[in-house]
Amino acid sequence: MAKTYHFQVANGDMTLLALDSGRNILIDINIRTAADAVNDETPDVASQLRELLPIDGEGRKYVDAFLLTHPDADHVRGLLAHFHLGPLGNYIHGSEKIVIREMWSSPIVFRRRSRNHTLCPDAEAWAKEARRRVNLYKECGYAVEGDRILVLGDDLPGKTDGLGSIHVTPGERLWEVAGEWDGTFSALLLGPMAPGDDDEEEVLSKNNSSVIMQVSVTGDGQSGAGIFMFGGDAEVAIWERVWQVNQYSLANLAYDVLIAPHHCSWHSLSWDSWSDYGESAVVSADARSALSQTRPGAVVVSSSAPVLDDNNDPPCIRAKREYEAIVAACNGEFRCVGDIAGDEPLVMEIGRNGPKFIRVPIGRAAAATTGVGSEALPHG
Amino acid sequence: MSEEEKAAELTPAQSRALRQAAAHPSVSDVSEPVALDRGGLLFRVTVRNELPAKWRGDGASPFGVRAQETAIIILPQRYPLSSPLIYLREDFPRHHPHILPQKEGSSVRPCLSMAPPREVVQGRGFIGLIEQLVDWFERAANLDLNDPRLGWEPVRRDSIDDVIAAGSEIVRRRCDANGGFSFSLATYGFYKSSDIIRMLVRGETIKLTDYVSTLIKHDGGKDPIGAGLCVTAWPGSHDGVPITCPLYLPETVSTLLELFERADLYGCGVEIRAAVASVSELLSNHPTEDAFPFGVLLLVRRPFNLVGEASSIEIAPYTVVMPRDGVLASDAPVRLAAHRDTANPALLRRTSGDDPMQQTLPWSLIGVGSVGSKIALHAARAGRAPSVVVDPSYLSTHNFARHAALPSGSVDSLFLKYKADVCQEQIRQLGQTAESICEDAVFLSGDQQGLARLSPDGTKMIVNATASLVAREALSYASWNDRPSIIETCLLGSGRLAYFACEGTDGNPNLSDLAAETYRILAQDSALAKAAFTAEQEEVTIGQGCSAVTFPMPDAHVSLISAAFAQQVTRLARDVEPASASISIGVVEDDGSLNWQTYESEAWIEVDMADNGPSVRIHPRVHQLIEEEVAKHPDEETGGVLVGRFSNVGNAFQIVDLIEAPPDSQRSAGEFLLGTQGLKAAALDIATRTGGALQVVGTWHSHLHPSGPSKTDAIAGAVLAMRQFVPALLLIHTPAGYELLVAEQNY
Repeated sequence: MAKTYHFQVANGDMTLLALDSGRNILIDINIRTAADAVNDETPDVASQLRELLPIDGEGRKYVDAFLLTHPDADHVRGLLAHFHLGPLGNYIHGSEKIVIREMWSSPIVFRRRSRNHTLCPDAEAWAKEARRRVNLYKECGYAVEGDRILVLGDDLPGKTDGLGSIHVTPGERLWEVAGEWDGTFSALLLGPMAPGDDDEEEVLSKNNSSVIMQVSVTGDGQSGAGIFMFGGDAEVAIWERVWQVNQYSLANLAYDVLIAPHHCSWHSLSWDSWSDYGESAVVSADARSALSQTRPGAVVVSSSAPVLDDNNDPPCIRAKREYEAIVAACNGEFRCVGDIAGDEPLVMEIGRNGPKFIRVPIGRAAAATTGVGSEALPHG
Repeated sequence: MSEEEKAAELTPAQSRALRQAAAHPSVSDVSEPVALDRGGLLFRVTVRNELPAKWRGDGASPFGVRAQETAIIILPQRYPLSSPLIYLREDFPRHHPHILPQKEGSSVRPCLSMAPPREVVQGRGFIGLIEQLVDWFERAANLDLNDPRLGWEPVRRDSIDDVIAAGSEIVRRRCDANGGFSFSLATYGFYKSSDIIRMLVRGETIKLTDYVSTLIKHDGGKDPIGAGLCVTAWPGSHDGVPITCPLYLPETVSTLLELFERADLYGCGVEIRAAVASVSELLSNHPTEDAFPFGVLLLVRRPFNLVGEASSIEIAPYTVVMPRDGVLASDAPVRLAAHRDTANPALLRRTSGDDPMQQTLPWSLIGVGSVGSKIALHAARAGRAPSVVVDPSYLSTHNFARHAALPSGSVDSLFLKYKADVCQEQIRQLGQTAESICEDAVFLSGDQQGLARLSPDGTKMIVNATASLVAREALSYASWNDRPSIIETCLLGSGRLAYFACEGTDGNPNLSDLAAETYRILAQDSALAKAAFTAEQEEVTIGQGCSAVTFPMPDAHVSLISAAFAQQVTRLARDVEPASASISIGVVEDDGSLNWQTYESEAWIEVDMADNGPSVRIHPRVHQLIEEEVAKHPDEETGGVLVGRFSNVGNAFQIVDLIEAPPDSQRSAGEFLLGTQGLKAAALDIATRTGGALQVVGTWHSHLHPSGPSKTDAIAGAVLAMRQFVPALLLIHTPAGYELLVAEQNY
């Protein structure tokens, strides 16, 4: 059965989509340095991810596709440390690095560096690898595993010219993963869209150039049993635009599981700042409409630290309340990855009747929980 | 109620339970606890069930489990010594398995674990019990409480009217792929005052002939006891695939029509209708004297094995009071019966973790004293009882200290019973049969008739648990027609040592040979030798085991060793392996542990003498040593001293060791002169170390050419014979094999 794994990466995104076909799609990563340290208690998400990945004929762990919604640190952190970049021929065995068979990238990575567009080292590395793959495709007209790339969505004019079949435009549907047709998966690209005018260009920051994708997966042989909506850190302007474009095709916005945009940020739902306006901040009707096309029993998953009743944003308590209201209408639920106990990812299984949270059984050791070792205990 | 008051009222265990319930991640709410008038505490726990999106949207799973379920938990006054009670909402669907049987209308109680809830609390904490509850809900939501890993839960019956006892393995064996029904006679008791029918179904099936109705009768008592009838019906196949019923439904049958409908569900509706029709037809022509209980066993194929069983066939038992003329209306009442298994070997094998279908190879047990009776009982409990038990002795009162038998009452001492008969009865009570022979096996082994009784046709194994040296020799050297594998079990050295020996193919080596080799092994290890050959043992040579008078020891000690014997014997009774001779010696440590050493033995060299003279049986290791010594002296005769024993019964020497020729021996092409230096001391040493069990029995020497004993040899033999009480052996190694010279002085 297909599964999704939502890793505990605090305010950041990291999701693995394991399809019925056996293919794996990774969506963003936020592997903090602390998580790699042996003695740090930050969940070791890199090891958890590796445990889930298959090994290719050369003994290398791999993902079939890696979707980077946008090149912000909390979505790409750990790329250099944990993923192989460059031609597969250069793979260093024993490095334990994960091979990316196909990159799915936002076109924003092709922009020139500017005052408004700086990239962290991991994002720079992604951009460099993406350019390598694009150039290889432009040279050869085809690509093989480890060299494949899809550029998802539109950017400023000219940025996606000449990409041919590796460019996917909004409204287009993907049926292939790593160059192969996959009957257990399809994805509708909803964004990023090319800016309509100069004003919009202003708002097309990194967040707003996030890839927005409605992913439909087969569960236990049932086609379309689970529909997931991923939107990176897209903010209110983008969701308004998504609504305007799709308001007459509501099926394009339907979901069983919505990953709350921007770690449950208020900015995805409203133009007003939560810290400035508080409860008087106004919800954008269009953005809310775009984000509330729930199917029965739909859930909103916030990939964030626990949502507290404070002035923080993200995650924002007001956004949580809004999402709770959205899912209440369909007997759904709001879940925050940061709320779950332990280090393991939040897991959903997609059966014939849709996605279901997998409960972590309380083991024999539960009753033997001890406070010893949690903190230094002075003894007089 | 204020916080302080609540805290004051809760016992620490109750408080802990509440805290752990609230800590479970799937628990969304724990209500305020309420003290009950009768003592104990009541609170409600709300569990959040993970449902797939579609069901979550519907608010409940199609099998009636809601996204939020609230259970009432009662901690009885004696909690945690008493189990917590868990109740679900009254309208919780009752069609799930693993619900405790309850009258319709009462609160639903889930069955959360195989062990009582208090055991779960003790083992895994209260949070462990909550985990079971959460898991139960999750499975129920998916109609998945019947878990292949745990087994299929048999149909729940909230009330039971009657009891039918029938050997489940026997009944299930009838369930072939063609479908059908069969009848068996049954003995019943109808307790009219309490309205209970108890029925014991016989194993064999009968044809429904006219004669049957004359067999069905009762004693006419107020609570009649009599012979009734029982039918077994089972489903056939559909398109070549045996019909399986994967649907769990609690019991609802109360009339004949409902019984037929239920049988339709199980795939044997046609069969049971035909069976009832044939009974009705018989009785319409040949009515019985009175109405009688008619047992019905429906066999149901399930998708996987039943809970705790090695079979996927469920037995659904019912009773119907059959009118004497067999006319049954469709609304005739059908009573629900509980099925009780009868003790039978297949059931015992299954419970013992053995293959119930694998038959027991016929075997005989000789000696059912304190060790033998325990082996018999262990084997019978494992469904692998001996088919013959032999013991000539009576069970005396002092035997109850260690015998597997129990006194049946104080008058027992007035009646003497043979041990073999008592053992036979115990085997019978365990659903198996054995013949008892209350005679001396040693005498029986003396002729073919007796041997045929000890080892009836097809017998694969004989276990000698007599602890008798004579029995060992007699069994070893008897003229078996079709020699079974003979095995010896006994205690040595006041019970410090356990001895288990299996003879080789066709009795080579035999138990007698293995005993000689055992003495050598024991003599080599000073600790073992001390245990086996101490002065106190000398009166009764080792191997005479556990006679009650000789070696007082508690029953637990005998049982410790007998259980180990029984394990081996039971395994062999299932699949006697191609005989490979072995000796196992177990040392019982002071802490009760039992450490085994096993020694394999290849076939021995047998050298027979003409004219029924004594034969010689040489351990292959000794043969090897002789060969090596001969090879060292290719051009001259060499030799040494033979160590072993002589079997009176077998008229045979057993050679298990050598003493090298003393340094003053002389070798030449024509003669070997055995010296004397240190030899006497060496010979004495062996006899001393083994309590006389092993001794110097003669000499060996080589001839450079194939030839029999020389004149010199004959003189040497005569000299030796004058000095020892057993015959003197001169073994001659020649290039063509061994030659013998045996000399014995007559009285």
